[in-house]
Amino acid sequence: MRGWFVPVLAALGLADAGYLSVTHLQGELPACGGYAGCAQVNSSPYAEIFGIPVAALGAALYVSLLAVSLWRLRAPANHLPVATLAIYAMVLAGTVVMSYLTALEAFVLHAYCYWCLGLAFITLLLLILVVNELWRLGSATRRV
Amino acid sequence: MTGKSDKVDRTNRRRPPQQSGQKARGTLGKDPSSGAPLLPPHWYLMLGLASVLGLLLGTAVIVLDLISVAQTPKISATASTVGGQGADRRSRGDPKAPVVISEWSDFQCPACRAFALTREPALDEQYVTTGKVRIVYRNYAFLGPESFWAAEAAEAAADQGRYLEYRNLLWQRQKGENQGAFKVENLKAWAAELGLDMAKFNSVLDPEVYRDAITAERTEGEGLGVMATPTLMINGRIIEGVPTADRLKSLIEEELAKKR
Repeated sequence: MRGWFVPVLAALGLADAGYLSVTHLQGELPACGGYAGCAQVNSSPYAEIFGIPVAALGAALYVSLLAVSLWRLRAPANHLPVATLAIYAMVLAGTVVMSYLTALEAFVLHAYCYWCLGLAFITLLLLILVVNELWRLGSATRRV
Repeated sequence: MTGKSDKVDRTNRRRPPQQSGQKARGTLGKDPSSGAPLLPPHWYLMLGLASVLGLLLGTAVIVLDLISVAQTPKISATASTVGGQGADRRSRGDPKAPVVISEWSDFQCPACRAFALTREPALDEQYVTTGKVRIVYRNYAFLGPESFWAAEAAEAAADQGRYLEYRNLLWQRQKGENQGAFKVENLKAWAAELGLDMAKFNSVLDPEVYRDAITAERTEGEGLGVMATPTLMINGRIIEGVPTADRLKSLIEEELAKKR
């Protein structure tokens, strides 16, 4: 069952980043329950990189993460370490970017977007999970 | 059964031989029993490389984002060239335009800023510069002292015919709510940045010449049905919040069709 945690979280992350990407590309603002922070964050210049929504990069990352993690469920045991490493590298990159974006919200924009905070939380959970898996892989080998 | 065979049996129970073709799946870190090393050679080197790759990838995105922000053109300050005079000094577009949009906003309202950044450029290009729409900016200052100061500073800039430029600067520099972004010191610094006559600007801002007028404008807005910001009045029709680009376009087209 444990192997499903990563794809499930990746799917949640994809839904979140996908929603933010679609609204951004349509020139809309994400629903925020009446709070204006989402509008402020998503209309800030930091929300785009040369015209590409940052959320779309997140969606691309989560698509890759979902694909690799689903493949890993069916992969033979000898492929598990490399698949886990690939997931780790992606999640680490995501964590670095989400930390930067959250710092921007807190210290530059002084506004928070719930969708972005949700994505940051999912990414952090994934990092904890994957580091734990890597740790267990290393421990198992030391016991052999 | 001999003692030796007992020992073998126990070993076998602990480590059952893996059948050919049998695959271990989804057993992270739990398959040392296969006898084969679970991790590839140079595992820790690979782990280090994966860490470096992840960190580099994340950092690259951050660097690109910062470069992109640095190269983002500022909101056009040339819009003031289509600004009006007198009572229309807070307006843009042809005074005879068939559609008039009154935009009620508070300079501290993030959704108002979002409207200015995400909707106005297209609105300008399609309708304002083509003489179909005139936008009149109205003050609905209600979010606290900095909302009033910002609106008063914008009025002081309007006195010098620079309302639209100053307004654009305020949107660019909006940051939080009553947290000091629109403190008087900043408002003056930005006026100086635009090259305004500072003696004149200060003589309007310091004694709060426009305070009562801005308060009265809010009361006027309430009387007209404004309850939140931004509120648009498109030829009098009230639209609250930030409409989608398509909805805004269709609302304007509806009004244009009525005039044809």
